[in-house]
Amino acid sequence: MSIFNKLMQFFSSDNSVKQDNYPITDSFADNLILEFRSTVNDAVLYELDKYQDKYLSSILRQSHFPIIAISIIPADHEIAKSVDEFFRIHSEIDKDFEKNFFIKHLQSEYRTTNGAKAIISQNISFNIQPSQLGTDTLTGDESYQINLRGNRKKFTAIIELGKITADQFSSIKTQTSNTENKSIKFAAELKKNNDETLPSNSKTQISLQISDRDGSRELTASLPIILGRESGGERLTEAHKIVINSTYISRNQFLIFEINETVYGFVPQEAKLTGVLGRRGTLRPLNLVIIDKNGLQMTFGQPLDSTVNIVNSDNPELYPSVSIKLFSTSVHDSMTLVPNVRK
Amino acid sequence: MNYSFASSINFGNSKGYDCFIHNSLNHSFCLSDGANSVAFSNLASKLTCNELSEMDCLSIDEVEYSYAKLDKLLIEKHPGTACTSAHIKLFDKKLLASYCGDTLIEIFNFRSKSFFSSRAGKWSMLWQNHLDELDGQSGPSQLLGCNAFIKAHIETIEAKCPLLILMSTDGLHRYSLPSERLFHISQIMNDKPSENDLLFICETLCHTALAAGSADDISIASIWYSPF
Repeated sequence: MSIFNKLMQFFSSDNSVKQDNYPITDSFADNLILEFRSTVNDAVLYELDKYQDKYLSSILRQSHFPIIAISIIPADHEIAKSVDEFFRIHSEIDKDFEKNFFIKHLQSEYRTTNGAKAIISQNISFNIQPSQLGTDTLTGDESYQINLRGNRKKFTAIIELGKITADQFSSIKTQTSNTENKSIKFAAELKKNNDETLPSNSKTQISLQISDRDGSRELTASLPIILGRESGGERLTEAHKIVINSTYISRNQFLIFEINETVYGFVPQEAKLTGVLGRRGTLRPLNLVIIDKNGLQMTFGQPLDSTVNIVNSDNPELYPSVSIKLFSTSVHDSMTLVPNVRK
Repeated sequence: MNYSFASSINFGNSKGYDCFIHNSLNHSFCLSDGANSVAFSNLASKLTCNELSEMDCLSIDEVEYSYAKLDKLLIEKHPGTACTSAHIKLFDKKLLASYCGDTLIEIFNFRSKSFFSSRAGKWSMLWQNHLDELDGQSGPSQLLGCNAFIKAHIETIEAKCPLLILMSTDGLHRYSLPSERLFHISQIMNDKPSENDLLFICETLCHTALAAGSADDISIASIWYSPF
């Protein structure tokens, strides 16, 4: 052996001693993330491609396929062994490491050019499956061939997509995605508040269709609620506030509540404006209006002292419109009754 | 006959009292909602769908007679049960709708806005059936197979452009808004929808009803029909 070779051996062995274990693991994980991402991305787009021709692009744009399972198959024995070791060591420290690793590092959404998209579902299951191929050790010839080809894929992925699902079940879409999120947030907040404060036997729910500056949205809410503009601290504590964003609306504009299985609504005394019930006239402060199964439709922004109807429901930026519909979950609603009418 | 259809019957936790049958020989569709307050009304809805889908009547009198005959048959075979019916029969450039009870039939048409672009336009409601409902209550005022049956309603609707027909039971239409149904239909524009597209619309509306708290049987059928 030449002196040069000995020196090279010395430096290379010296380097390996000096090298910390942590960077090796780090680099291994980085490579693994990159491999997984690219493999899963290709597999998801391949699956989407199979389904997207069966649907109109207009439907694909409003819906998504949930990804319910991802199985990753290592290409050979060496890779299977190293990946298995990586997850085994980390899972000893953190039981949910494998799932968290995938959730954190894989994309949450995949899209094709035709508008189809797949979204990682909440109950997704990940697994690494060593196949028969994955337990084989490569022969010298195979390794040589793979090296000749260059960039070799280390994994294959099998994706299971669920049934196509609408992005949002409520039809009344808002004009902007920002507002859409807002309405969902409202509904979630309202539900949370109602669950916390209302007695569990309260079953009367109302559906509200609101048109204001933010566009149109639909909410379902349990009573009591108050409709009005954003008010800061000045709000009725008993009722849950639903904020309406328009120019002409009072802070506490319309209160809806239920007594003896009848739903009532009224304009509180402190409201500076009132609403118009179409042909049924103008709402007067502190006058109760019964909300029955036919519902109630009104447009706010009418001055209290005006005798002329000035609201314009076609301009929700200034005059917001609200349509209220009852949802009552009585026994009769769960079954079709036979009418007792004699011929 | 250029049409496609899809259905979602007894969706979710439904009790299985609804029935839907398509007869490809005479291009007819029948949806029936068995009164689930009475046991074995699922048998009544099945018999109704079987009989009405086989019905090959051309005149209104013939259809009326068939309904009266069916009512008697139900009383004879399944006494004490009752069901609704909604029946659509497609003809060349027209369709015949017959119904009894509170099962909804809605027909939407696509109106082109531009002469030059067939895609520009929107879907709107063309026709909707009258529901036999009791005043102030959420029940039907007449049903097939019980003493309250009076007569079937029959209508002929001309088809001058592509139509989208929705047939839905009260478990769905009471828990979704007409605007919601129109919104989902509007997604198909002026394209010919596949059965997958129609099924997607049906299931999305079923999910909407379920999310709104429907505890009744949820069923819907959607039919796309082009007279051209």
